[in-house]
Amino acid sequence: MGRKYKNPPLVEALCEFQFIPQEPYDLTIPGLFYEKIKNEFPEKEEQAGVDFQLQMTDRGIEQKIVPVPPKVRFFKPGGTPLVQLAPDLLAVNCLQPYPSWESFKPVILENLEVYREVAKPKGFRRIGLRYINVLELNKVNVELTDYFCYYPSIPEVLPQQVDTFLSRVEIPYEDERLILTLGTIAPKRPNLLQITLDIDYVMVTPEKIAFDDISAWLDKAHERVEYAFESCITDKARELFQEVNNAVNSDK
Amino acid sequence: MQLTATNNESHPYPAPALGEIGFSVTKEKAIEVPLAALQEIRYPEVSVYLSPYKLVDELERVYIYENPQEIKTFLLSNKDLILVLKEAPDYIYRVFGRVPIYLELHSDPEEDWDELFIIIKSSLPADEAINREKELFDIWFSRIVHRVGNRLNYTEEPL
Repeated sequence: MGRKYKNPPLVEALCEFQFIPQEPYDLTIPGLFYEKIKNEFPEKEEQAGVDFQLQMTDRGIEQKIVPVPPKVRFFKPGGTPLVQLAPDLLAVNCLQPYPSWESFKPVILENLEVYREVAKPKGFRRIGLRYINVLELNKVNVELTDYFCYYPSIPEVLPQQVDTFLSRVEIPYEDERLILTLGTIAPKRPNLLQITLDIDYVMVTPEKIAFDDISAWLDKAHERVEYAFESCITDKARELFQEVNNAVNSDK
Repeated sequence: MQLTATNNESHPYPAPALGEIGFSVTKEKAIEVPLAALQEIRYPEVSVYLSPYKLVDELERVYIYENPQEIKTFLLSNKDLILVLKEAPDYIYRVFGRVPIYLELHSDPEEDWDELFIIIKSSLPADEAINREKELFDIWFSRIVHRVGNRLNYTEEPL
């Protein structure tokens, strides 16, 4: 059982399924999917069907603008939770306020089931359960070690003050990986520090997890994400997040 | 390590340069991972929260930001413009060829007014440049002007 916070830093939880590619991509899948979920997720939005890609040309590396199949989002009024579809990809996202794992997990499983009915995927290529936390501090200077147990270490002979950073590690967990990313993001206003702690637990072995085993995998992934979160923050951070000291519901 | 807010403007998930090598280190072995593989892992970004930050950084690979911090803050407050800016180069290159494109934010704090300008640098003669500007309006800007209002505009300038 994890800890509960009155002011949690969690800005988004998401589960991303990448499937074994099916060629060619069936462009009717988003429409068929929407037909089945539109009562729960009536709003829809299409993302631009262009992408920037780096390509090697005779003149060196060039930025190319290439057409890609659009990503489609279906969401509830209010914008969360939401479901995203792209070729061989399904993502279920939950923005603030995050209800609880017990509420979020069924949304993931229900939409995966609908996707299976509609797209008939061969199997999982990759699964990721990801929790994105953002620590906002109205300060000009922050000692990272005050808030995080995971941080980049700079040799003492170098200046210790930085204004941006990015740290990413991939920790093997059996055949799977825990990806921890800590870094700054562009501030919404001057003199604001925004630090993301992005925790992603992923399965990257194609078809290792059967569809019927996904529920248990999700519980395991959630447990590891939660453990990683608590391991990465300090008591001072917990004070900031205002830990609630009751044992009733202890989801992050 | 002390983190300071001064000039804190970059994004934590920059796309790696093509051809670079990343290293995933374990106790047992160090495995070389081509960063293209990491790109594959990271894209497409499915985080709704982080997507705008990534897109703003991606745009910086196409546009030259005149005042980066202000532009990023403006775009993060006007997220709908990000996708408009993502589509725009395709039309601009079609009309003007592969020319440098700048972004410039003009502000008047007293009027609480901000307008982002796409500056298209070209070496075309003035008359031809005006014709191309009109063509760009017809094939692209006329379709989005109602959405962007007075927050986004474009102009051609001599290179």
